[in-house]
Amino acid sequence: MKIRNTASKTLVMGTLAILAQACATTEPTNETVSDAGSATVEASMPIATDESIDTQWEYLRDRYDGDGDGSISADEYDREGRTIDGWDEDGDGVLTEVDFERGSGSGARRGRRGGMRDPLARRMMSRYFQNDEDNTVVKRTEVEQAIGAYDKNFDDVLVATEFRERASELKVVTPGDDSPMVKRFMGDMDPWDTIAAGVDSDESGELSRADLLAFYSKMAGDAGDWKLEGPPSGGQRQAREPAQKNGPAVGTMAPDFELEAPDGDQSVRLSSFQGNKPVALIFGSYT
Amino acid sequence: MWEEYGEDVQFFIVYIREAHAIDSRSPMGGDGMPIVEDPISLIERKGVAQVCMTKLDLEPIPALVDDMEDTANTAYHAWPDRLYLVGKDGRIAYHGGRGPFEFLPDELEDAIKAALAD
Repeated sequence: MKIRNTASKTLVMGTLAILAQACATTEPTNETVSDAGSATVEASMPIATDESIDTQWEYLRDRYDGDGDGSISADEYDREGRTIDGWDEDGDGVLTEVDFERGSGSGARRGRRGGMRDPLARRMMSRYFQNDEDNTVVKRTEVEQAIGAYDKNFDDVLVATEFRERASELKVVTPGDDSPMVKRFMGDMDPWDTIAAGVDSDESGELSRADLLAFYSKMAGDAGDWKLEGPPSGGQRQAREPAQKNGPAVGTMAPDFELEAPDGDQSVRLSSFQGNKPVALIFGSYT
Repeated sequence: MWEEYGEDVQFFIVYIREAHAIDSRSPMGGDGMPIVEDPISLIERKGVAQVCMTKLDLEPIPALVDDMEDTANTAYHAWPDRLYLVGKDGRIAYHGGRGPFEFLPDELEDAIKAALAD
């Protein structure tokens, strides 16, 4: 029986859900990282700059496990006013790789330890399906439909070229999609590669219907649905807060500030531009 | 947008408190996502901001780093991300919604066009 090849929102959604989940379940590399020799400014900053570091544990281990025994004690985690408690999942007073393992424990814990798992799926959903009433639960039928949506030659097997062509037509995440949101959540990852890494268990380079459904089944609950805890949609979404609770309103004087640039001590005062030119302020952070 | 209007409008990226530091309440990081701890000093915050600017290829755009009291973030209710345009007269000309869902660069661009047309 052929699956109808229509590009409805739910089709795309199901695939995106798989995609998002596949990103999060890609196994981290076990490469050992040694950057002891590079005493750069960046190395002392609380951010992973070595591209071979791929997990939170690898980052913390490299930064704080001074004696190299594979665990981080409260003393080793030497950050003013901060403790390791939030990460110490097994409560043994030290951080080890076990505290960062996924795939065990409650769903909530998995989400937290997986870091981007649910949030990624949720954000990607919200990017494409903000107004979809049904964006919090992925149903098996939707996944099946989604497979059909990408399976251009109806052979029940997806290959990279098929996926990429169709994803491009459907305007889901495609290689070269450099919109900020996608960039932020996908980095340089290729969607197909990340899906394949998570779903293609026999590494055949093809995804069969069975591969995808087996993958989906692992996420699904007793009812056979995969709950995403999606963003508030439609009517649930909160209206904008009153202006005064929500930053300075249009027409009011812009609150002044004087801040420094990242690479120097020179400071800039916002009001110094008054009478000169408009100022566009782009507030944000790395994550 | 910066390339198009950079001469007539002063753009600043204001680096504020991390949204998803790994020691925050909604941690993210790893598997291709940036891994960042919440900076505990201005030096650290500047360092992270610099890495961020480099990695996201934002370097040509001038950046400012919010202080550790989160002065700018608090005054502008900016977290986790938000866009503003301050007019030549020093008044707020555009006030974007809270990111990421209401982070709408197109709105900012319209506001810039309007401001420059005045």
